[in-house]
Amino acid sequence: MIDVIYAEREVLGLPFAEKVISRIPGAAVVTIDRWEDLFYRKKQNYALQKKERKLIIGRNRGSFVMEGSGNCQSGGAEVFKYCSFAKNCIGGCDYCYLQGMMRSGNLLAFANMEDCFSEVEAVIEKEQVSEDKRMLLAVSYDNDVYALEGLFGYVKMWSDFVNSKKRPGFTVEVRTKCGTKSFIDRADPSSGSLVFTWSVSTGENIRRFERVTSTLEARLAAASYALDRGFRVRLALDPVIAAGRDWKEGYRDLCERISLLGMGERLDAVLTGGFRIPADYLKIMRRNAPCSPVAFDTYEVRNGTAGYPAEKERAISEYITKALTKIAGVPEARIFSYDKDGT
Amino acid sequence: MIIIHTALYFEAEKAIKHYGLREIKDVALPVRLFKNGEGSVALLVSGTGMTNAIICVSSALTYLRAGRGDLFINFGIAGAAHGSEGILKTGEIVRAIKCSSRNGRPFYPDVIYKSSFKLAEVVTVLGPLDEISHKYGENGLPAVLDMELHGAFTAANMFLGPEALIGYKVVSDMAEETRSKGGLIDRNDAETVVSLAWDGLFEEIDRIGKEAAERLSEEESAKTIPDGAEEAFGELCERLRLTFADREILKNRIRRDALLGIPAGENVERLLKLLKEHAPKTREERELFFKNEVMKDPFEGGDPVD
Repeated sequence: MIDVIYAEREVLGLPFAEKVISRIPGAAVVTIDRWEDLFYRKKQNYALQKKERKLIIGRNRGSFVMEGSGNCQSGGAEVFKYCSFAKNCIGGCDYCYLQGMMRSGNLLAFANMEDCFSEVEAVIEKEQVSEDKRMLLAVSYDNDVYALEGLFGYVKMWSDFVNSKKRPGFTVEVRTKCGTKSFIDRADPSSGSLVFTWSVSTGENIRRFERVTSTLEARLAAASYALDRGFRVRLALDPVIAAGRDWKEGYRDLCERISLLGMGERLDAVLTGGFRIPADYLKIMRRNAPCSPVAFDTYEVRNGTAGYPAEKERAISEYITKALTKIAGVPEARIFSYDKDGT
Repeated sequence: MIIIHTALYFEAEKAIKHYGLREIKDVALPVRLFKNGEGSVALLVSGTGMTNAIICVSSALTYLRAGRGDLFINFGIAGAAHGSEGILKTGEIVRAIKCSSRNGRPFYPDVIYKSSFKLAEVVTVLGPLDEISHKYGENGLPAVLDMELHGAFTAANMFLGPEALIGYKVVSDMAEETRSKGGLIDRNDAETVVSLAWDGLFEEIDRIGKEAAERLSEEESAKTIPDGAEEAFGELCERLRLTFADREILKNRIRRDALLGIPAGENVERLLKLLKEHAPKTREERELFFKNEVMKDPFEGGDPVD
């Protein structure tokens, strides 16, 4: 429950800020000069802030669009970018890289989305995106914007953006762990440029390592509903958490569920890869998440990224690919494994 | 430790009695500092103004070795700012959510520990007749004027995080009215509101102190090696002649296993027993034992797809 909203003086009065504030009645609204004054304070306690989240609404004066991380998969697109207009999310996942990346545990939402869309237009033009040079823009890595659609309405904005004109080869990916179906109805699948990716894991991993996220059943049901509504849908079995005695059993069970829902062949792509994180983030994550078993597993650092030892990484990839093809019925060409290609 | 800061002695008097504090006599201290016998509560009286607050808070927190788990609480009288007269009453306590001054950026303490008092902006001014040039108390947030908080928070933030900085102000007067009278307030009236305010504050401070201690104890209990198993862990590392880096790897593994359900003490004892059975002698044998036995993942299973 958010009890304090910090809003930049500059964004107060903008429809976005007013709408968000009106949706949290009873919260104290504190006017601030710049969001950075709050977000980058000294000696913040990330874990405590995460438990008692406040919301900051600001204006992004820098870039919205950045190069996609080499630790993520584009699912076959030649140009891979990510867009950050909201930071931190309401979920609490033990393996989340945000714990190693963010100085603050508070939610941050930018109100100047028109600047964001202009920048995206410019990037599409600069990259000469076409059917032959496809671009994937991931818009929800730093925040589960789908889960917060009722508060921010970002998914609707992106849906309107992709439907406003034809941009061949351009795809926006909204990744989520939320199982609410009603938000799907806010978006329009007609352009084919909006892809929903449900991040899924085993039921046991969800129970053990995630908080304030939907159940596996709800996520798969939402994914199935989105497919029925005509959306391109992906599943991200990413990161694969190989912890606990029964992790392999868990992923087998997950693939069986995908198969039972008849989703295997209808999926646009399945993205997978073992847990990995920039080594610098892992150090901070261990401090910020002292009770996360994932943070304290044994990792190897390769090219600045900490991940499972190479042998284990390969074994995970092979096992998951096998389970996805043999049990879930996903064509191998649609499986994008971090270990396999890293793109 | 709860560290209370007031500008004036009369603002501190009731807390000194309540917590049974005794003054620390140390010539090196440029500040009046009090502490209780257990060392759980300390109180400093800085004198009025931002400069006094910065110097005295820095000195006292250095002297007290303030750090993780400590709380810094500023308390004092404040005037309801122009525009907040209708929202605040004399004698009302507010808790700072924003602290601004003409010097530097506003400071935002994190209100993590819940409060039963109104949240307010505290504007730190140079004196009762000081003109305020920046905007304050916007969006219906009440505002009060004091003379120390911005300095006190800036200094305390060198030692403690924003979640550990708490500012309480009791409304002693309406600032505009006081200005028109030359900036003076009645000392007897101020003493009365301060005394009544403490009666309302002790309960909240005790609750917050307890919550903070519980959170610290949670963090402490997540320590890798429980106290009882430290010796066995040391012996294990010594016998294997582990490097510092390998010790850390092993510590993290034991911590992960503990979080997944294998108690750390039990795990260390098991490894030590295994080591005594295998008794590797050469460096190569020890390295192999570490890799194949110590670091063997107890959670690895077969392949259920086949």
